[in-house]
Amino acid sequence: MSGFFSRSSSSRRYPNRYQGRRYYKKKGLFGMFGSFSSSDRGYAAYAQQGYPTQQYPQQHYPQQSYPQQMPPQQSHVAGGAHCPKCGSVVPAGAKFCLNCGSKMGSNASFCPSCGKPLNPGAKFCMDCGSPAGR
Amino acid sequence: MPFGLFEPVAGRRVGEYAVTSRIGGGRYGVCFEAVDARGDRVVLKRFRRRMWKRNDGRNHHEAVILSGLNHPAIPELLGVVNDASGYYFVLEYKDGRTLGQWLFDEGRSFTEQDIQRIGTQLLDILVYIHSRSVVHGDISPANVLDDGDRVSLVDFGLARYADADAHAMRQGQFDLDLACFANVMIYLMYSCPRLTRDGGGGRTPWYDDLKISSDQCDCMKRLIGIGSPYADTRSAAEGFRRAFTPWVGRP
Repeated sequence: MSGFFSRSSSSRRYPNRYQGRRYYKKKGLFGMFGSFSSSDRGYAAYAQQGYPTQQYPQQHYPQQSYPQQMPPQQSHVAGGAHCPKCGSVVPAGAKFCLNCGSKMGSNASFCPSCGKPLNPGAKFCMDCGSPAGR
Repeated sequence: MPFGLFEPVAGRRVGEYAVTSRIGGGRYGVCFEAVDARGDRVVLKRFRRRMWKRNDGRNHHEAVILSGLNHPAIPELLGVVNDASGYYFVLEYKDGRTLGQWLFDEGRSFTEQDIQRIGTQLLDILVYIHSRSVVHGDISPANVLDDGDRVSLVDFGLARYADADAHAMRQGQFDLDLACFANVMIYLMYSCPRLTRDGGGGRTPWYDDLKISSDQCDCMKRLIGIGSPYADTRSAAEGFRRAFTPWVGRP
């Protein structure tokens, strides 16, 4: 979570503040996401053929391989509960297991003050310190 | 195996849902409209395997953030489906077309009253999500739905919790949403013939080009990040309401 807002991509998401009619009368960049570009599709096809995925030096998160169709076991997500059905770690706050989809009712508790997810069994919010109110 | 071989088509079942049509897609994957066992409409957001892997460690944000939000204008997370045909989030269906579709597919001109209504409702949603420490991060005409009466804010794929270790507003987290909101408003204003001028090269910045009052111009400038920003989202919503009330009832 931390570091997200310091990444250069977040500054790119600020709109240019000084645009005029020429920009606003045209379907802008957001329209690009409505369709897959052909080059993108080609790359996707290559990635499926078992070519080694390129490791970009600036992306310092570890590259791990997961069996296809299996979302990552989110072990790095602090304070997650374990899914009683499939055993995978579910990030704190998620209403459903992100692996098998079973309902995780007791996992979805949020700080009444700041709204961030509470770790299972926590008495206080790790972020703002407010009592969890249980 | 080429990607998309298992992409569901109309009539196919995904978990307990029956796909009815494809709604749209993006870099992350594709969205389908479907009905659940009771016949209620839902949206299935199918992730591309490659995007899911590339975003490893960040994919859970959308599910967690949507689990913690409860607002009539924000789609509820109804489930997660992980089967042979792909990985899906099941989301509540929201009525309406996106503002991008209204503007660029339908060529609609929004009236001043419409713009005031959409802006006010959208800021109400932003006040709510910011009070829950959530930054949407991707407010654009493609992610705001309007059914002519109510707006909805969709696609929390880039949403994150604001950092708590510093005052989030000063750290430039919530103001990203306000700047993107202002950008959406300017799109709507340029669709209204009464607010736009003819001639010129079209490169004049919006604040010298649109026919809006100085109060409205100041408010929009503060939102988009020219001049002093609002202290918080609530005062931004109040400032917007004050500046744009004259548009209420203008057809």
